[in-house]
Amino acid sequence: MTTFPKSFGGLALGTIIALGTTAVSPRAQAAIGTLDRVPAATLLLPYFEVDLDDPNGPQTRFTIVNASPDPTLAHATLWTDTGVPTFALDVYVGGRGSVEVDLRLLFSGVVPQTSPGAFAAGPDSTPHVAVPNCPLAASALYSGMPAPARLSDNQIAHLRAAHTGQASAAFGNMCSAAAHGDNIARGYVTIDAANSCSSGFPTDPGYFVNGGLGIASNANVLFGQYTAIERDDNVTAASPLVSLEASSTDPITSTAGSYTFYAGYVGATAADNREPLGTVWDARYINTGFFAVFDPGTQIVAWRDPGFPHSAFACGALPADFPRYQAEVAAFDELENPMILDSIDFYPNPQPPPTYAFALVTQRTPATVVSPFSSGFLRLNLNTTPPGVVASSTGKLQSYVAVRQRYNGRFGAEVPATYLAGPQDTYQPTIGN
Amino acid sequence: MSNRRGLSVFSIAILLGSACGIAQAASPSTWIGCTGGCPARIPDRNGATNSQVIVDILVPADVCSGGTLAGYAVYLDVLHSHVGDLRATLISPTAQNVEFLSPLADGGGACAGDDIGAKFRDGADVSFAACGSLIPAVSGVVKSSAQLSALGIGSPAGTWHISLQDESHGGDGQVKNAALIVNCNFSDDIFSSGFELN
Repeated sequence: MTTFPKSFGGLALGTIIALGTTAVSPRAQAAIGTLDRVPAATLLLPYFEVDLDDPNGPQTRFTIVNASPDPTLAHATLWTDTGVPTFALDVYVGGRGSVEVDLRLLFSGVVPQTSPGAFAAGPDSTPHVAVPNCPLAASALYSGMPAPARLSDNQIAHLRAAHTGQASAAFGNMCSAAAHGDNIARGYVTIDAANSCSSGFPTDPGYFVNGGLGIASNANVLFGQYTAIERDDNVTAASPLVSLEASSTDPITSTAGSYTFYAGYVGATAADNREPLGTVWDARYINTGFFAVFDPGTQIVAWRDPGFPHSAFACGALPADFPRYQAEVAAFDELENPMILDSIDFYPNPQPPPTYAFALVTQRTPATVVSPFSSGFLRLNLNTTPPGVVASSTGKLQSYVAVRQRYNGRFGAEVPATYLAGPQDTYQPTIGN
Repeated sequence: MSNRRGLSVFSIAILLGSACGIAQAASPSTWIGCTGGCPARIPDRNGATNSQVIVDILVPADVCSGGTLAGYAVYLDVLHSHVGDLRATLISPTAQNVEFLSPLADGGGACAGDDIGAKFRDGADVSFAACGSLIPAVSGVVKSSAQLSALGIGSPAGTWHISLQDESHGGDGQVKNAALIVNCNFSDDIFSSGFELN
C-alpha cells in the first residue's frame, strides 16, 4: 500500500482548511429523491458475483468510505438474488476512513476485522470511540468489535449454498436463490450507517425506527465503490455504490405511505427514512456492428425491489413473485427507431411466451436479450406489481439499472443508467407517452 | 501430511534399469503439513500495530531415518488480497529464524496480487516480486528471501513454526495450509560397487 509522506499529509490538511475558509459550501448539495451521488445513510451494491470454483472467474470487491471526520459503523447485509438476507457484518469506519471488503475472501470465511482500537485517528478525524453493543474480541487490537478469526465451516457452507441456489442446512435444507447451473454465488449487498452492532437484518423489527433511532442510523456519511473483477478475461469494471440518503423531515422519506427504499420491510411507514431508487431508466447499449468495440457486448445490471421480506423456499421452484415482468422495455437504434419487447404480433401464429429479461431481484442481462439492434439506447420502465409487494399498489416498483461494458483484455466500465422517474413521480414514462 | 519418500523407490528403479555401478545419493523430500493452527486468520496491519499468526509443524524424529538431512524448503497456501504485504518466517525447534518471505518495497505496492500457493527454497530462479495478476499471484517454486540453508543440518525433529505478518494496512486473508519440506540424503550402498553377485 502506498503511504504518503507526512509532509504531503500536512499540505493536504492545510489545503482543506484553506478551502474550508474560502469555499461557499464545501459540502455536496444533496437532495432527497433525486438519487444524487452524495454521502448517504445507505449504500446499495446492486449485483455481485463470486465464482466459487475459479478464483480467476467473476469476483467482486467493494469499499466503504466514511466522508465524515467522525467515526461511524456500517452494517452490511448480503442478500440472494431472490431477496433473502443471509449474512450481516459490522464494519467500523473511522472518520475519513475506508474499508475494503473482498467478497471472494468472505465466501472463504475471511471477514474484515475493524475496530476503534486498531489504530489512532488521523489528523483530520475525531478520536475513535467505542460502539454500543459491539462484543469484546479476544484480541485487544480488535476489542470493541466482533472479530471472528474466520467463519465456521458451517457458516461458509451456508453462504455458498444460499447464494448458488442450493439447499442450505441453516435454512432447513431449503433454497434461497435461483439455481443458475453453475457455482457462482450471486446477490446484492446493502450497507446501512448504524448506531450499534447487531447480527440483525433490515427485515427485522426494530432495525429501523423513525429518526434513525433503531439499529440503523440516519447519518448521511457513507459512500463507496464496487469492482467486478474477471481475471481470466483480464478485465475489471468499477462503479459507485448507490447512495440512498436518509431524512426524517423530508416528506418523501417521512410520510407514512411513502414508497421509501425499505418500504417493504417497514410496512410502508417510512420508518427507514431512506429515499427510494428510480423506476424508469434510459441506458446506452452497444452490441455489435460499427461500434462493436465492446466484446462481449453490453450487460445490463438490474436490481429490483424485493418489496417484502423474503425467506427460504422449497427447492425446485421460485417464490410466487418470480419471474418478474415489467411495464415496458423498449430498444432504440441509432436512427431513432424503437422496438418494444414482446410487442410483435405473431398472428395467426401463437404469441411466444413473454421475455423475462429481469426476472429476479438482481441480475446482469446481455443487452442482446432486449434489443435486436446493434447499438442505441434502452428505455427500461421496470414497474410491475408482483404479488405481496407492499408498496406497489400504485403499480410502481423501485429499481436500479447500470450498464456494464467491457472489452476483454483491454478495458471495462460500469456506469449508472440515466434516471428518468422515481416512485414519487406521477409521470412514469413509456413510449408514446 | 504427504510423504514423498516414494521418490527414492523410483530412483532405485532407474538405477537398476541402467545397471549403474556408481554410488548415488537420492534426495527425496518429505512434506510435513501444518499440525496446529491452520487455517488461521492473518490480521491486517493497522497503524503501528501488526499481529502475527503462528502455525505449527511437528516433525517426527525419524523424518530422515536411514539418511542424513540435506536441507529445507517451505510450502505456503495463503488466501490474501494483497500478498506484497506479507512477511513469513520459519522458526526451528531450536528458535533459529529464517525470513523466507519478505514484504516487498513500497509497502507491498509492488505486488497487489491475490493468494500464494508456492514452494520457497534456496536458489530458485523466480523471486517473490515476480507475482502475477492471476490467482494465485505467487505460485510454483520461488526463491527464499533469506537462505534456508542457514538453519543447518542438525536434527529436524520437533515443533517448527511459521510466523506470518501483514506489514501494511489494507488487504486481508488467512493461511490455509503450510508445509515444511525436509530433504534427506540416502546413500544407496547396495549399488556402491555395481551389482554384487557373490
